[in-house]
Amino acid sequence: MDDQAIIALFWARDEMAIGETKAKYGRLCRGIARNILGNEEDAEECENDTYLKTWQAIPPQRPAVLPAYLGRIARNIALNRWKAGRADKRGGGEVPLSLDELGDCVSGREDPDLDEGEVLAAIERFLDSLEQADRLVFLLRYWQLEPVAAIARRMAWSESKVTSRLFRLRKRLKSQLEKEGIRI
Amino acid sequence: MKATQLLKIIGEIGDERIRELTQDGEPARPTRSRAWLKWGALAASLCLVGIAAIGLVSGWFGLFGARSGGGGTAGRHADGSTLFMAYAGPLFPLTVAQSDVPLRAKRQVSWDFAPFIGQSATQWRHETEVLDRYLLQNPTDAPLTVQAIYPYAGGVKDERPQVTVDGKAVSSQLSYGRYSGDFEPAWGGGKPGETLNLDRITSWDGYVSLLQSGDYRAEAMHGEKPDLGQTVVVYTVTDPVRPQSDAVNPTLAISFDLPDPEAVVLTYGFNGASFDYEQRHFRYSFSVPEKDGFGYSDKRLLIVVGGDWPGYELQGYRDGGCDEGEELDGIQATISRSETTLEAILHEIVADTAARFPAMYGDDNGVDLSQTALYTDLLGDALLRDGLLSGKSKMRYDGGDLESMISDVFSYDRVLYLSFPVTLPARAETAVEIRLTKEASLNYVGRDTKRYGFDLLTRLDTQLTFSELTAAVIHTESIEIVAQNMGFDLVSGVTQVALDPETEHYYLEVMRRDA
Repeated sequence: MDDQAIIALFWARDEMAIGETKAKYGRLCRGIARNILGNEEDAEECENDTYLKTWQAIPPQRPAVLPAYLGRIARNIALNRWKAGRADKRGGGEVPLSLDELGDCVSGREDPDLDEGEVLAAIERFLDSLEQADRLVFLLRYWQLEPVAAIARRMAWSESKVTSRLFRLRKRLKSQLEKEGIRI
Repeated sequence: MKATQLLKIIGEIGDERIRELTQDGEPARPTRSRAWLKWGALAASLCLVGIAAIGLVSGWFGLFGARSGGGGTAGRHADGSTLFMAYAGPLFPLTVAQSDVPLRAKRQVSWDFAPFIGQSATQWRHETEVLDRYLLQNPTDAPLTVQAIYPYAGGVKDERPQVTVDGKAVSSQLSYGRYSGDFEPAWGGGKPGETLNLDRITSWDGYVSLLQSGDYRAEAMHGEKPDLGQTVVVYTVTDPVRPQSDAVNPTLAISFDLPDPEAVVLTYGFNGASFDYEQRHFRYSFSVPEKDGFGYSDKRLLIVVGGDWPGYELQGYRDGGCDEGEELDGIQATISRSETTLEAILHEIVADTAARFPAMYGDDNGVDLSQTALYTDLLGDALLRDGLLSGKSKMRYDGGDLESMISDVFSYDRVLYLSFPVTLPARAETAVEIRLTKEASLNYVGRDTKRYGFDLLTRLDTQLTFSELTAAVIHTESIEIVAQNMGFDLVSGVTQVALDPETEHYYLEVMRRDA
């Protein structure tokens, strides 16, 4: 079903919206949650929470890109669950590794005055400056929290190529943030 | 800033940039049963992120590529080995072309786990360096020359195994089998019988089914080249012009009727398509870049095979949806007509694609620019076998865009055959060694994600009878063996074992010691 038709079902408060969303984007939402939590049961719960949250948010919202909207909700729910420590004992997931890698780009000091909007804009400019393959790899790793092995298979690259490319991208991001005067 | 803050902020990246990630949550291709289907949303999104969409092919490479996985579920074979989601294929035995050669053969296989050694997940690799060694004995009083054949599972871009005979490197010829898998419905939403996604071989016994008759090898090594000599009509689109406007994604659509019921259209460099096969009406579109901007000079071709159109219409639209009411005046392009052979135009397209690889994937992308004639044959074969020129196209390819098919041709799994001559002195033993890097089979979601598998087949499609078979593992300090039917015992130092050559399948599954 077309995304706009699915959104129309949400607006009509038709419960078919949930079924259609699950059929089309369930795998995406659960995959993101699974990457973060490393556990199938927790991922399934996150997927269901994503549908509930979407049901509560549409209307009034009308997302322009439904899969990105759903993916973001799933990511936030899963990260909150991970932070709450409800999953790490059973699974593991990619969050610790990703945080370790992203540590290359930042000082590691808490910055209570951080202007998140400014950092976000700089990251988006950084993404726009990348070749599409590089942008995809960066987003797969740090937005979708995909394991390196999965990215390698998706890109038909070797794992070592993915890791070395990610390393270079982190260096570039750090350089760009510094160049734009952002306190890292 | 802390890494957790950065991770949180990355989560707020705008939807349009994320859309690239999520495209494979949607069906990859339209179905024929729905007459008018739009690829416009895709075109619009790619335009918004500053990419010239499908014409740049990069977005398609890997997204639906053969190694992307996604269809399988973790489980076990009857013998206890793991049924992996991403199956890398087994090691096959050496064979010879001749069927009645009085050879005696011994085989020694070793897996070197040195690539597993590393300090962190960003350093180690989950592949082994394999040495597959054969001792071939000529028991007769006269020298013998045989054509040895070594099969291996892989893709076009994979590194070629190295062969030595009695310690000296020998040149070998490589033959390419067709795609080794099948096609399946869309994951999670397809209907039985649909052929939208690649359905790869996910188990060693799948290779037994594929290869045991010998037909696959015979076709790979002795099959005829695809006949691509037919004349086709090529429409080349150049010099697109977009007007000043506030349109999100100015798009140019070319519409035409194609009366000949057998005629088909292949495209290169187009973003969108819709077609009504019953009425024989077709429309193809592309996002018009800024003059001299990114993607402006990309090749854009419509190739009509088996007919020609009597005329066409050009219409601009405000976005890739090409909807009525969204027309945009002032979009133009030059369209020129030429005739050539299918082989010539496919070769031109393959060369264009291959030349883009270094920019997109780096210099180690695996595509050999000197092999474009070979790649053209493989593309032609795929078109005639599974594409629009087969007369029964798989749904995956029925949109006619050559980018999708080239992507698959470069990346999907095949069995490849290395062949090389071996001269065996009378009453003497000759050592043939094949060295290759062998990826592990693995599960990348769900249970057993830390487990890596390696399979060995001993008898499949070989003319040789092995009197001895031994196996060894080396550089094992970073691994532990978690499942096997070979008899290694790392704790007790048993790293070499004798195997029964009559047992068809051996398996070895390991985990990193710190996993």
